[in-house]
Amino acid sequence: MSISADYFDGRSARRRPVELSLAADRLIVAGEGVQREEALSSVRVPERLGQLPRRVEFVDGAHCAVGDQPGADAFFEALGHRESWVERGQRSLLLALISLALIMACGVAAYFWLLPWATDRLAERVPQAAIEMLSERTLKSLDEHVLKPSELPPERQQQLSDRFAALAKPGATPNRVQFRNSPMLGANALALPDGQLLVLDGLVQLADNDEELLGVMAHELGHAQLRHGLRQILRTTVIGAAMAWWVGDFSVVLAAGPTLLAQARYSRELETEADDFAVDLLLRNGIWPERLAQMLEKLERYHAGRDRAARPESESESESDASATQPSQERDSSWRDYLSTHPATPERLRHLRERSAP
Amino acid sequence: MDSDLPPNAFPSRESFRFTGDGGEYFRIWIVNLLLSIVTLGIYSAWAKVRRLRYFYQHTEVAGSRFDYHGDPIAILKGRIVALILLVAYNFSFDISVEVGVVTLVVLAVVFPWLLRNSLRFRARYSSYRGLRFSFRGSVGQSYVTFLLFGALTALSLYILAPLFHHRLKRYQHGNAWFGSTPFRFDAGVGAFYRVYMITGLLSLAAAVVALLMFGGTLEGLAHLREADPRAISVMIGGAFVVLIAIGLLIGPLFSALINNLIWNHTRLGEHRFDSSLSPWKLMWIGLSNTVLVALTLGLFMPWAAVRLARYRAECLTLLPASNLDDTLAAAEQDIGAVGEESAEMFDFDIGL
Repeated sequence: MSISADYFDGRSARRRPVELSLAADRLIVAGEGVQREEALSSVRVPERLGQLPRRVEFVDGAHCAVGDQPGADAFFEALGHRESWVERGQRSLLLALISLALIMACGVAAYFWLLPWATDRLAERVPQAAIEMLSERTLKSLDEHVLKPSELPPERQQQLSDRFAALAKPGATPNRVQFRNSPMLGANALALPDGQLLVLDGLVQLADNDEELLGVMAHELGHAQLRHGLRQILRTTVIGAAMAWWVGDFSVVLAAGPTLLAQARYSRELETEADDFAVDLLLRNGIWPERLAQMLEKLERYHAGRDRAARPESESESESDASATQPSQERDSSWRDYLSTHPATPERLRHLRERSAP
Repeated sequence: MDSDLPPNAFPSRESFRFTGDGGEYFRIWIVNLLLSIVTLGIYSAWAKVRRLRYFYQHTEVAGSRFDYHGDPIAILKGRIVALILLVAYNFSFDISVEVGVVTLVVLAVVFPWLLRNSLRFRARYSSYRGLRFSFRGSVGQSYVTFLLFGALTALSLYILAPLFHHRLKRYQHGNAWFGSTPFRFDAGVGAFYRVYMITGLLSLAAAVVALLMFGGTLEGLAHLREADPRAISVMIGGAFVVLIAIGLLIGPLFSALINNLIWNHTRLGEHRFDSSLSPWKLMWIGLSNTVLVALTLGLFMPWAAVRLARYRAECLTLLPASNLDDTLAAAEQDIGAVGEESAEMFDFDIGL
C-alpha cells in the first residue's frame, strides 16, 4: 500500500514529492533526494481538520503533507492512527447539528434558569454599603436630570411620610420617603435600591385618597425590599458580558445592541412579586388592597391620556423607536417602564384582586 | 507548480489564496464551542489552536500552505495570566489607592515583556513549507515601543497615536524572520498620519451629524410643553446610529488603508508584498456579515470569518524578486536557536 505526499525536511522550504509506503512496522519515505525509514512508533499523526491535507510528522521536525486521495483513509488506519470523536465530529454534519442543539439548550437553560437563579443569589449578597452608594448615586443623577424639588406644602409631605412610617412593615430598614416633582415622569413613584421612596407630585395630585398613595408606596417598597433593581442590574450586566463573549470578537456593535435592548424593564414577574408584597402589607395594616388596584387603573388611564397628548408632535420620531417590534401598548410606555413605572395590565389587576379577596 | 515555465523564469506575482469553506469550518467551530461551554471555557484554548490551524492551513501562496503548531496548554497559561491581570487592573483601586498604583506599576513593567513573548510565540509556532517563522525583537525594544510610546500617546491626548502604531508595526514586522530570511518594514510615520487624518476627519463628520440630530431633538423638546420620553429614545437611537456608522463604515475604511500601507511596506528578504484591500468591498463584507450574524443570532459567524479571510487573502500578493523556489529552498532553519528557545518557561500566547 502506498500513497503520494509532499515531503518537507523542516530545515529548508524545499518541497519534495514522495511516495509513502508501509513495510511491517516501518514507514518508508521515498522520492527524489529523500530516502528514510522510520519506526511507526516514532511517527506522529496530528489531528485531522476538516478536509485539509493530513500530516505525518517525524521527530527531527520533518513532515509529510498528504492530500485527499483514494486509499488515504486505509493508509492512516494502517499507520495506527485512530480518530478521536472530536476529530470525526468536526467533519460530521450530524454531530454538528447535535452540538448546535445542545448549545441552544444550554443557552435557553442559562437564560431562563441559571441567570435568574445566580443573579438572585448574588443580589442577596450585595453588601449594604454598596447598595447605599448605588442609591445615592442614582438619586443624585435623577435629581440632576429628571427631578425637580416638590411643590407640595411641607406639612402635606410630612403627613404622608408619617402615615407611611406608621405602617407595620417586614424587614428592619427604616424607610424614608422623599418628594419630588417631574413634568417628564408625571404621576409616578420610584424606589431606590436601599428602600428610599421617591413620590412625585403628579401621583399625589392624581390620588383621591391617601390609601391609594400608600398602596403604590407599598408596591414600590416591595421592589426595593425584594431587591428588584439590583436583580435587574445584575441580569443586564451578565447578559452584556455573555453577549461580549458570544459576538464581541466579531463586532462590537452587535455585542452592544442586544445589551441596550435588554436594559430590561421590570418584568411581569417582578411586578407581580411587588404587588403581592403590597397586598400583604396593606392587609396587615387594615387597608383594603382594592385601593392599589383602583390607583393602578387610574395611572393607566392617566398615562394613556398623556401618550395621546404627546403623539401628534412626535409621531415621526416614534417611527425610529428601537422597540418598534413590540406591541403598540408596550412601545408607548417603554421609556417609562425602564424608569420603573408599571403598565397596569388587566391580568395584573385580576391577580391583585384575587389575591386580596379574603 | 512552475513546471510549465522555462528554467530560470519565475512568476512575477504569487497571489495568496484562502481555500476554506464556511460549512466545513462551521462543523469544527460548533463542536469546539460546545466543548468550550461544557468545560466552562477551559477547552477554548484547544478551540483556538484548531481555529488558527484551520485558517493557516487554508491560506496558500505559491502552491503551499501555512501551518500553525501552537500548544493549547501554553495558550491556556496565557489566558489565565491575562485573566489575572484583568482582574487586578479592574479591582485593585477598589481595595485602596496604594494597591491600585502598585498594580499599575507592576502591569506597566510586566506588559511589554508579555507582549514580546506573545509575538514570539505566535511567530515561532507558525510555519510555511515546514519552515518556522520567528520573532527576534528584544525586550528592551519592547519597553521603548509599548511603554515609552504608549505613555507618550496617552500624554499627547492621542496626537501621537499614529506614531505609536507605526512603532508597533515596525517592532512587529521589522523583527520577524522566515527561517533565516528577515522581514523588513520601511513605511514612514507620515503615511500613518495620513491614514489617521482621513479616518479621523470622517469620524468627526459623523460626530457633527450626530450633534445635529441631537440638537434637532433638543429643539423639538423645547417645543413640547412636557418633555416627551420618546424624544429621548430618538436621541439615544441617534447616538447609536453614529456608533454603528463609525463601526461599520469608518472601521473597514481604516482597516483597508492601514493594512494596505503596512503590507505594501513589508518585505521578506528582497521579495515585496502588494496589498490592495478595497474599503468599499470591506464595508460591504462587514455590513452584510453583521446583518447575517444578527439575523442568525451568531450562527453565521463561521461563514462570516471565512468570507473575510477569503477576501483578505485575495488582496494580498507576494511579488518575488527572483525565483521563489530557490530562495525558499535556501532559507535554512537555525536549528540550535529553535531548540534553545522552545525550552523557555514563559512560553505563552496572550492573543494579540
